[in-house]
Amino acid sequence: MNEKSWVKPDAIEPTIDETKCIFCMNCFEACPQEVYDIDYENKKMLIVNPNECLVCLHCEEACPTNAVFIKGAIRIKWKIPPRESMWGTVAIKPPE
Amino acid sequence: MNDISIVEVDVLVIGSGIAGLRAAIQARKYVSKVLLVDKTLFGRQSLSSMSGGTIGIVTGYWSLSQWQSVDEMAAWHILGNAFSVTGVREQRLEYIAAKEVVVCQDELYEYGVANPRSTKDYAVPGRPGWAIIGPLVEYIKKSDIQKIEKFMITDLIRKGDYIFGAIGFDIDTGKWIAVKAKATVLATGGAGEVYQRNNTPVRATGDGYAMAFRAGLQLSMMEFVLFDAWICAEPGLPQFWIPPSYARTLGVVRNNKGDPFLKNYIPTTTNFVHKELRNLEWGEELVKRFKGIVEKPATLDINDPFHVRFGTPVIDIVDCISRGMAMEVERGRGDSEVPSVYLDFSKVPAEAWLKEPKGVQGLHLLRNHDWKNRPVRMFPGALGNFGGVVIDENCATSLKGLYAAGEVTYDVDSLRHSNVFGVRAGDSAGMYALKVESKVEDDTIDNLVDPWEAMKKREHTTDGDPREVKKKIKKVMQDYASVIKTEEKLRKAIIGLDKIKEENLPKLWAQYPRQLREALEAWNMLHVGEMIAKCALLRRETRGTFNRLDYPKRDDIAWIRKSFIVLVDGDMKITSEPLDQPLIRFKLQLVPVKGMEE
Repeated sequence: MNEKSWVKPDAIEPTIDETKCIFCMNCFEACPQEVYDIDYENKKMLIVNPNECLVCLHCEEACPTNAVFIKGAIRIKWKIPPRESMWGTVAIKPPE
Repeated sequence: MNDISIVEVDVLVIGSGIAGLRAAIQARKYVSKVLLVDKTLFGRQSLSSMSGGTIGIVTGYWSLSQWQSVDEMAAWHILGNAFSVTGVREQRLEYIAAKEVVVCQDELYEYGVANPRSTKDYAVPGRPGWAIIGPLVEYIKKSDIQKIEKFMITDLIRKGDYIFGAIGFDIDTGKWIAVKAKATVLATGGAGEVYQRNNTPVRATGDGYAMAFRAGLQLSMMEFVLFDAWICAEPGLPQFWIPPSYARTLGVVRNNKGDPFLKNYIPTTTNFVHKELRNLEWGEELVKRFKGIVEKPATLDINDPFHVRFGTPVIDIVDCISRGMAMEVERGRGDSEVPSVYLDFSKVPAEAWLKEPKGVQGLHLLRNHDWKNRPVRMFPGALGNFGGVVIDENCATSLKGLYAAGEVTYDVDSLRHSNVFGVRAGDSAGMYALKVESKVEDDTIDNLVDPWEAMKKREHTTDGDPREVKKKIKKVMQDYASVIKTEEKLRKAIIGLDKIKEENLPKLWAQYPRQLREALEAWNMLHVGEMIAKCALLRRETRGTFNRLDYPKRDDIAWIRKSFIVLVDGDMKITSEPLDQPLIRFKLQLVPVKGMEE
């Protein structure tokens, strides 16, 4: 990632792979922003508000067939801090 | 007769935010048959999963070692806290929350949460709370707790003074199911969705408030809506919370004249909490004893981070910031296109965004916005409700067999509260279910289904389209009952909502079960909106997140009171009564609110 991409990161774009989609509507259920909608007649999912996507990735996780993918999301593995003691400052070490 | 199948359980838990999940786990320790239901996928649409992810404002933001005692923690929460609903907090509940927050938080280690104390450092950007909710959902899926996902509860089943469970329908099949339970836990969350500007998942429509109201329960304090200041109002960008990353704290909020106006609204003379402490009887004495809160002068230098600039943590002054923004817009110093003010990031170094997950979320949020050269427009948005169902210390409501926890109850506005009272509600419901038997006749159930079933048979008109009705409700609430309220505006809100009630509600239609869910949500939103507007009309003062332009002072003489809503003969009746102050007593005085009078 360079300085330029911090100023203007890649466009966020929710996508659905129609060959994998089984019309379970889980993406619609999981999305907190109504990015997806349902086309009942043709039995397929629609992406109606891509601009509203918060990149929370709930839809990706809820999809049973990995058909949903959010393009452009920055995926960093954050380190889990060590367990803290009761008083919040000293880390508890496992017994040696 | 409708086709209703019946399920019998010991404890029914409605809702799967942190309160519902904790209640279900806790109730299972007492009884064998616990059923957890949610109107969508577990945890996904809960505000908990989108929230900051710090349970301990106490233990996360300020480490516990800074506090001298539980009393001090409780006092701080009664006085200040995130939304500064100063003076009208239920002090007994606050004391319990302060006492149990650490234990309840650390119990989460047992349910697989990697580090409940500081999820902010490793959570997925965009849904920090999922670091807590996710493992809890996994834990429940593996356990022998019964669960039904995508099951919309429509009503509680009441007979006499008892609640015998609830009735609802399956979102996929539309089939009605009545759950007969010995004890029921209501944990359905808040109603941020009643406003256009909000920071809540789309399903946060306040079903619990409306359900409780229909069942005849008492609700309180509904006028207090929590508005978070930092909601993006930039057209074309998602409307969401600009996260409190390093980048935001270095940003500057300006009006259309380029003036950093917040100093006119935030009390900067001394630390906010100290100022509140001095307002109490024996206040000076308390300031000397409370060593946990360090007094720092505000620098008012726009190059400093926010908490240095104003000498107090941002979370203490969210209400002042949102009041300031809304007042600038009210006085014509906002943006001309969208009602909003500007957040200027031009001096923020680019790498500040990548220091923590929340910063990355901010970057996602501003994806095609050139934040280096153009400020971001923002306006306060609804985050949740301070008010709700009245509970006692054990989360029992006024009806036997019904317990409530989380945002649906009053005095609860954070993950911290929801965690503590979720556990308490689970305990109480479990213990109650051990000693009672549930029996209810089927005719009561049939009456509850009929009004909703009728929606399926109606004509498909635009007037009755659930999504259109929702939009209308949101518009009325945003225009007339948002951050800055006046009597005139509130009356317009009530008239607007009445109009929707007469014209649109009888026409609501639904073809598919998912549309029926939306129709019900619209129905519930309208009633919640009405509660907010009517209670707001009653309270004649400005306090915390509640701003009345026609009564610009905080009135500790007349308004250390709580408002009540009850259903009397099909009508909404609003009353109020004085609030108990067993821990901290406020002086009888009028406190001017900075920036409300010009």
